[in-house]
Amino acid sequence: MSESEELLRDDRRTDDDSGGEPLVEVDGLKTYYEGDGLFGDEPVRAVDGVDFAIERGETLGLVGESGCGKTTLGRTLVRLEQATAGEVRFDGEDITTLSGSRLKRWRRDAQIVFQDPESSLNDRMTVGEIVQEPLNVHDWPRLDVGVEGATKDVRVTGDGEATDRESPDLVVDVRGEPSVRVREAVPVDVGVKKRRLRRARVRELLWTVGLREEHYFRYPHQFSGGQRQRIGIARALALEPKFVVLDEPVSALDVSVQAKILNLLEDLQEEFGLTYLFIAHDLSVVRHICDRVAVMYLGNVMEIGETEELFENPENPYTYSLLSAIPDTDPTAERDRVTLRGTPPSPRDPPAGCPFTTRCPVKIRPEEYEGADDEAWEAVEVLREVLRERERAEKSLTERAREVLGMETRFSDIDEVRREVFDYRLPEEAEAAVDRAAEAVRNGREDRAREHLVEALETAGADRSDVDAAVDRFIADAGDGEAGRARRRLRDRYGGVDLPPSMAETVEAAVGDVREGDEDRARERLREEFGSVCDAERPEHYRVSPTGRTSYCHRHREEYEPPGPVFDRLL
Amino acid sequence: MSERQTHTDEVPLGDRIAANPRPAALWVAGVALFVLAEFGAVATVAVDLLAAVAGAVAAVAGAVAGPGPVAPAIGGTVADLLASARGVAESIPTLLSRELVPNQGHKVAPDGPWAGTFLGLPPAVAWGLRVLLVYAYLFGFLYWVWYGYRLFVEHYRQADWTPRDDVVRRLRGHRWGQFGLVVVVLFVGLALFAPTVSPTTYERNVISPYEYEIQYLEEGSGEVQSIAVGDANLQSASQGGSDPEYNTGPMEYDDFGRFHPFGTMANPGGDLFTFMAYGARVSLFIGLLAIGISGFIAATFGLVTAYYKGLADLSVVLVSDSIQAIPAILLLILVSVIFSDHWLATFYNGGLLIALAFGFIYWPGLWRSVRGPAFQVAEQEWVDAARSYGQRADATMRKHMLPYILGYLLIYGSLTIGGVIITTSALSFLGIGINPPTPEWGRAVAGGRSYVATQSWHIALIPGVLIVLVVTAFNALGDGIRDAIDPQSEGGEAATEAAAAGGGG
Repeated sequence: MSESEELLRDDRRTDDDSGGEPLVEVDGLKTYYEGDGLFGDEPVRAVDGVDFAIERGETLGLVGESGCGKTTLGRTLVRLEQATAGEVRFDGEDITTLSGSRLKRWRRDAQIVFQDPESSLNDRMTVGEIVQEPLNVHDWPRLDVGVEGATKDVRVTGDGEATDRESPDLVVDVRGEPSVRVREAVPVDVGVKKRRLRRARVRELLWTVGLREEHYFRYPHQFSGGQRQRIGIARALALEPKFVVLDEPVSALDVSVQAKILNLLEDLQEEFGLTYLFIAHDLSVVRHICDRVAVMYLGNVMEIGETEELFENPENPYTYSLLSAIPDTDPTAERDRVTLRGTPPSPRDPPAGCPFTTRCPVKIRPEEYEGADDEAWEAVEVLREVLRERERAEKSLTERAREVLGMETRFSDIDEVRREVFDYRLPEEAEAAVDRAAEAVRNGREDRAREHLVEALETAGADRSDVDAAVDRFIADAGDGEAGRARRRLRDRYGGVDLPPSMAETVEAAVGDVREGDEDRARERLREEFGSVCDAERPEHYRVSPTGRTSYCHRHREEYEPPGPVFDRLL
Repeated sequence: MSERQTHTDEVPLGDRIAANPRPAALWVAGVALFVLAEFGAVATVAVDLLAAVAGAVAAVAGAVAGPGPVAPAIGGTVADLLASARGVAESIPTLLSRELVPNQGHKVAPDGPWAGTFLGLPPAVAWGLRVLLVYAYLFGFLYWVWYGYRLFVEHYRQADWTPRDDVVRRLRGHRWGQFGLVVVVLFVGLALFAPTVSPTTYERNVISPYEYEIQYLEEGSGEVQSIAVGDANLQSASQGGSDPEYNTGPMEYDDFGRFHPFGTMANPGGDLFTFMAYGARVSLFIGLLAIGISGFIAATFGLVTAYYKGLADLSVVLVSDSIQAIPAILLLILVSVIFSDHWLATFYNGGLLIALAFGFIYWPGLWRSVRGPAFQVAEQEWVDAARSYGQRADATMRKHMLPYILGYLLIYGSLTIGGVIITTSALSFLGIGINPPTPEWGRAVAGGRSYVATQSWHIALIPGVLIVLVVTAFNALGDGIRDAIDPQSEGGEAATEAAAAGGGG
């Protein structure tokens, strides 16, 4: 291109520092993976409505269990996944809808460092080729020209390309004596071939990330995990991005190497003014490197705020549980752990209300059960969870067929579930009689024991015909010093669920429903009796601290008790 | 300083050679010697290729311009030019030619020396010498290429190690694969140098045996007489039975002083070795063309389906399943019959047609075998990385995926080429596919079928054994390549290396 180009006035600096506008704004972002089943399955809701912003130059941590959608979120931010709904505004521009050359151009600004250094580098290319490839793809350096200090429109003639980009490689300054200067990152005098410039740039990048120049011609095979990760970082930095997604960049590395890589990342951030999204499941790493943290669970951000504050004083029940899992360095410190039961629900079928409702230790209870025994309450919750799981369990074609025909399926044995979930107990009088029987066995009075037992079982309403066998069994077990087991056996066989009567009634009714094959009615019955706002409504993000920290939990509403005190009471 | 420079800056190969020209110059001189020895043949092939291209261009031009006086005139001039160029090229003496070491001649007396052969040697010795020369040349040339690669690694490569080094190392320790390689080279040599290694020529043996005459020593009268090649072939044909008069077995002379390394064929006779050598050309042509076509389709579809997945994958699955559902032999028979009068069938008496049909039939199988590896590679994060910095889809497939499936293509290609050869032979045995007079191994087996239990067993047995040997060799070569690039052992090594390194940042 040799004709003259009208160059744009240099007013680019102004929008670079446009106040405190965040670099990345995520607004209602959803990323779903389509189901691939025969029956048009529900999509996997990997990211299910997320809002947050990343300020310029900060490091936002993204933590959560595996499978909570944090990697998908990171990949969506660099357009490796297509967002299903919502917006990601990068410098104010929605990048979820970019395509073609605009997408390619934007890709220079946002890069990603992958988790697995084994898989992220092509083994058949030399390190030099790997790091250089992004430069080739974007025809770096573009040798575009910017004009500075012009008080009126100027014309510049040459082989350059007019640009309104923020950091042109060549700048013509027409104040006073016109001068041309080359941007710092372009390492050599202009006039050399682009290929040479790129190679020089690659060598500089290698040096920047702490590799030696002679590594240029080596193959990734010849490097350790930490070194490979450094190569990956060099590749991500090649195009001078503003924003880098770090997808668990150190989790595959040795602990001693982790620290080095983390320090490198911090140095690079300082040197190049990078903005990071740091995805991790290692909380101590996050605490070390991040300015702010977002905690994710089941495709939702549960809590987001300043790192120290969030770690010191978590507000959201999930954050609280997650942080209590960090081992304490002080072995003498007494700390109560919150152990979450079960596993997260499938993202294919998340709960209708709060995503954490199925496992939340401080879930809001209906008023009449506020004072219910914690263990009994927990058992009911587990039963509900089991029924939920059964609903979404993958059913094979034959199982579907058997169900339609009213035949037995592997889903039908509710009694086993009940026995597994609940403690069993004989009626009070019967329990007392069993106590006496056990005492008698200990004293060697088997005849007395037999009497007490028969009495106990009759109270419990046992069938006369099999009482004798049960009694013999009890005496034999108790005689072997296994009184506990003997009693459990009697309870399992003749007892009922060990719940307060009001709860037991609903549970038994629900079990009856399942026995008749109507699981939907059972779920409905349990939900009506035991459900609360947590099951029914999605929470909102409530501001929980002056620094702008927000938490996604119903308990922050005025009418409910906040999570903190409830936890204190629980532990 | 210069030491540092060589480490860091990527110097173009030309500059690296200029810095240390001796090994490269030596090697190029060696190559020049090899080319010089065969310059006439190389020039002839080049002229033929030019002529073919010119012919095609003229045909297209004629079709475009319509009938006019200009195109034929120019075409004619070009044709004349090429014809004279060919004459010149043919007149250049070459090392590996029948003229330099002739083996056709006759005795001047019952115990006397031979006339017309190389240095008066017996035809068998002269022929053996020529074959030896051909293969020495071939293996010498291959060694020189290998030596060149070693020179490059030692003097000019900037990387001190590449993944290919491991492949080469594993292949060097693989005896079974090396056996395959040697036999394949022998087979390819046979096809490539068919005019030179044959005891007689294609022209005399197959095309027009009655237009040539040979001289021979009549045993009874002790006089040298002339006879048409066709008649001599007829009289020396192997016809079974048990009378040695009606058979010319392997490594025997016939009554006309001609040496037959593999014996002669059934009526109308002719040299079996010559037939086999030219048949090898046909088999190799069909095999390579078929594998080339199906390999190209398979690689393209493999990359596209693995990269885009979903609908692209599903549609190729459907298409390939439909093709695989067609019985291959039936399809081939159908194609040979339907296209028997088509212009496609005129090349190699149906050889090209068969090769195209094979390419169409075999790609689904090849695609199936590279689909898995392609999907595996597509899942690697470096493919995502390429996408994240905006690499084009086709470049990603070429740079980041293709190198990983090329090995599989090589393996399955070499395994399939054996299948192609054997199926071609089967077709010719059935009397379809490649029609006479183009020689094909399967037809030799068919022709000798009725003599298997007689003294003329060699007609069917030798081609049969050779088919088995060549197919086995291609399979062995495939095994060797697979073991050499086996990702399993490669991955295992990488894992242990990483474990041993234990980080180190």
